[in-house]
Amino acid sequence: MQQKTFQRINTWMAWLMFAIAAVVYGLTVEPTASLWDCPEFIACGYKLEIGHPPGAPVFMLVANLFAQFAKDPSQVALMVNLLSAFLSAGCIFFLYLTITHFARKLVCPSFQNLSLSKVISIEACGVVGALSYTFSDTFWFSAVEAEVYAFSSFLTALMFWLILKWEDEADETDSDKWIILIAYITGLSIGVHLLCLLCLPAMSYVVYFRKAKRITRLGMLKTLVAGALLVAIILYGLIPGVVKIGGWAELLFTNVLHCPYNTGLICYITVLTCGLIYLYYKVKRRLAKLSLACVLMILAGYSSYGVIFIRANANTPMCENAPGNIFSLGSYLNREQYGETPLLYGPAYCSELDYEQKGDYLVPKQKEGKAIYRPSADSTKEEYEVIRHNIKYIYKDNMLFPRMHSSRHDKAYEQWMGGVKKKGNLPTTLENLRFFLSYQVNFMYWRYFLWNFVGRQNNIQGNGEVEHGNWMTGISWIDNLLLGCDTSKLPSDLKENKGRNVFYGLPLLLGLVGLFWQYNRGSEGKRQFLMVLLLFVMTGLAIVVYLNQTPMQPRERDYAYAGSFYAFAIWIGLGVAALSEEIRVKSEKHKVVLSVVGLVGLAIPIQMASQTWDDHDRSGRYTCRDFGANYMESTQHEGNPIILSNGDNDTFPLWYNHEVEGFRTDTRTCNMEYLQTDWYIDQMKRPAYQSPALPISWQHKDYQEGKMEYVPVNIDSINIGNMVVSLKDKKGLYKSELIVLEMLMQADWKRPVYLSISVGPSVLPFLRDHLVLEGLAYRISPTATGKQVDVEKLYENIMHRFRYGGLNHKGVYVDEDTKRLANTHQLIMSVLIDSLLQQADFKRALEVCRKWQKELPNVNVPYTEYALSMARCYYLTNHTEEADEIVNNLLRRSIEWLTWIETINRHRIGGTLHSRYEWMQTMLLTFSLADQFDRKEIMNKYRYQYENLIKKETD
Amino acid sequence: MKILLKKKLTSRKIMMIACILILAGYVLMSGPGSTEKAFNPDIFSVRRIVIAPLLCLSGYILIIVGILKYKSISDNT
Repeated sequence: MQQKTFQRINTWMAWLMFAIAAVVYGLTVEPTASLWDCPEFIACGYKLEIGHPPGAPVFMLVANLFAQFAKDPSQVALMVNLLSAFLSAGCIFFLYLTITHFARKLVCPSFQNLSLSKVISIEACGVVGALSYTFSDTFWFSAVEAEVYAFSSFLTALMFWLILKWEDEADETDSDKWIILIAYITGLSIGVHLLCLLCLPAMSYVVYFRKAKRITRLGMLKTLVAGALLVAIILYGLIPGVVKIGGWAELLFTNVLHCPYNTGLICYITVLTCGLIYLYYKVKRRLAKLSLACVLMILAGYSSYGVIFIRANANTPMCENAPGNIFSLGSYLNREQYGETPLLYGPAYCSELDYEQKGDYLVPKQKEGKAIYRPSADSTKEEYEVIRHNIKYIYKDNMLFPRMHSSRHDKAYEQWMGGVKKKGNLPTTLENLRFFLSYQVNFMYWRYFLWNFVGRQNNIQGNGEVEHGNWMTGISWIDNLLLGCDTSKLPSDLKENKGRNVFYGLPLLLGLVGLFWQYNRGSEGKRQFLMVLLLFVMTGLAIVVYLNQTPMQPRERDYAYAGSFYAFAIWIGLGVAALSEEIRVKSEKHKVVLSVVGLVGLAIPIQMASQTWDDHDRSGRYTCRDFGANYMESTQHEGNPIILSNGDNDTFPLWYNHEVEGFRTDTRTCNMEYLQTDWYIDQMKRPAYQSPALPISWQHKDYQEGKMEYVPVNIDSINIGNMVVSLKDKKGLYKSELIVLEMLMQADWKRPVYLSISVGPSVLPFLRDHLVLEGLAYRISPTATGKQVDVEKLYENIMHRFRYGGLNHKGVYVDEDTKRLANTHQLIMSVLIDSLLQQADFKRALEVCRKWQKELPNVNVPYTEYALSMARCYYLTNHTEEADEIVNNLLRRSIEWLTWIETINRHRIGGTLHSRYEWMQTMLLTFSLADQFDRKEIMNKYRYQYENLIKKETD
Repeated sequence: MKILLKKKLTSRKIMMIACILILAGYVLMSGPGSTEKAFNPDIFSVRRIVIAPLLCLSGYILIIVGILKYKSISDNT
């Protein structure tokens, strides 16, 4: 076959893969915002607001384009989700071309004797590899929601393919343009996610192997160092450096030369750009010119941060860290909000601070770092002032490569490790390594890898316990050994969990076959192996090392490693070539045999899809939007209420409703975590849409960063109007709590303030005796004594105002987070039913039960012990059949669980004790309810197992 | 010689147009913001969140076109 024909076929096949992926992702995309950061990103794209650090301006611009295709604001989220779907399909497109590029070079190195069977072999590689990745868990998860990870996967795939394209054309005169394009895409990727930088080391090997006159071990080592250095220079040099010098320019022009703000910045950018362009035209040597062109292009991509800078100055309602001046922008880019984690050397979680004598006291030793500048709070003058210096505490005990570094997680470390052996105040090197390997590498990386290519237990987040989130094969005797239990006795909840995907290890096996075949395919194979291996390691294990993760993460973090799964997919594809080439050697009937191999290879991605489709199809699910709206609808319509929230999933969906759909813009969401920062308090003091500024009389200089962070308290109580707030158990108040008290005081009960039900009891504990439940939030009330329930408002909200996100549709995918939010709704429904029963209002209690079963049917949202309130109501209103259904269900499931838990190995049961306690509680409560209403038949049905389990528990 | 020059100008020309588009986009995006006194609905005007970002994005995409039209470094003045 001719080379041109082959390339045409290859391109057409790549587009076919693109089409398949686009259709798959387009069909399964979420029709509205998704949980976690997605609502934030959608609002950022649609209205150019500022999200969490380090921001993603390029994503914002492209999402903005896609948002224009929405017919009305309710479709905006869908359009941004489709952006992820589209770009993910693009990633599959480049994956296909990458795999076939590698395969062709190994199967038919010089385009000689390109027989049809060889072409089939090569194309089959691409198809199997690309489709395996298409249907893989982690990649699909990010492809159907509005996050930056789909975009960053696309850019990584594009960059990697571009260097292969360069490799093909490296002898032609205009091949430099590919290098320059890669530099530009790198620059753009800074405005999406820094993950894309991680493919640069693998790419540097492509350059080395292509251009080096002789391949030597020393040369390869030098290339590795050069690649790593390139990433380091961009990450630690260019990105923060450009901004830092801009800061110097600002200080010079504004503080010294008394020019208005940002003059220095404009001059600096002009000088930098013109200087580089001038140098580019002045310099004669080709390599120098190329380097300058690349630097210019990286900066051109990086310039997209102008969007962040300009929009921050517009003071959008959502404006995290307010990066509207060069210094705030610097701290925003450096993600200073999240603190630093030590990498090579530093303190461990149990290290003690070093103290020194200062006068009569012993104070912790501090090292004063750089000065922090901000524009003067005094609006009459234009000057940058030093608001404080960076302080670094000095620890007495430091170690190399500290993996257990966070003092806040001390108990978590000890629990994971089952006790930590220490030497003095530091964990021993062996213990440090054990944590690194068992938790960071094994649990937080290899487990995700095996999810994608061997099988996944269920979609519930795990922390090491047997029943949640582990990897498995689907082969029962292996899984019994792996998990230390009898998997045939799994409770139906876990057996039927949609996130249970089993691939029997086939994708992994095929990938390993491909890996070994590639390595053994001569020098070209070894070189390819090195490149793919480097990509695999850099986007996988290297991130694990860099992140230095603590235990008790709020969610599973597999999305960060999609790049390494991409690399493995290349090997899966090559596995097909391995099989077909081996068979070609042994058999004569080429085409038949190859078709068989291709079909067998194709069976793997199709089997994967049969498992992963049900837990990635998010169509018809509107829970994020509706539940966010429900928080706000829990507040009254008059008075411009304020609602205090706590984390991501009770804040961002509300922001989405405000910013994108314009819903309840008379309310204001106030996040307690952000309320600790001065920039957020600034934002609360500004009006937004129909919501007036929050009643805070303090000035910026009062609550500026560094001031009032934690104030010790020595009074017993304070009066707010006629409400007495007890501060007896509080040693001190955080800035956020002070601001809440200030708001309550200034509002003088004229502006209602609500506390979300999701805010944990340790936050604002002194308000817990003054709350009235009106929905998914409590109203802080001066007249309430203890926790009260406003039955009328709760009824109105649950029955008429709340929406339930399509959870009543059969087949809708309810993941763990959605289930938790649905359970919260069930909680307040059960509270309402109990309150109505107390008032002997049986008619309305029954209505709530009917509403519950209509909107949150058991088939989508399984009963929890909250459903016992519903059962009680049914018994009291003589609807015994419906009540029995609930009681039967709860008894059956709790006994299934407890019976299975009995099969777990003694030494692995530690993590499951919590589940066992919960199901034991459920079983006891349900049985006692059946007893209370004399349900002899049910009790007799389960009595034997019930008593057995009670006996085992008390033994 | 003239043909070569023309081709080279095309790449440079495209880059310049791209720069102008991006700058124009940023200029149109700027403007007064909300303050403590009042919420400024103009921050969400069509000019600032539709036209401006479209100009910026087209500029950034045009740079890609400019790079692809780039002829080799070695033969130029």
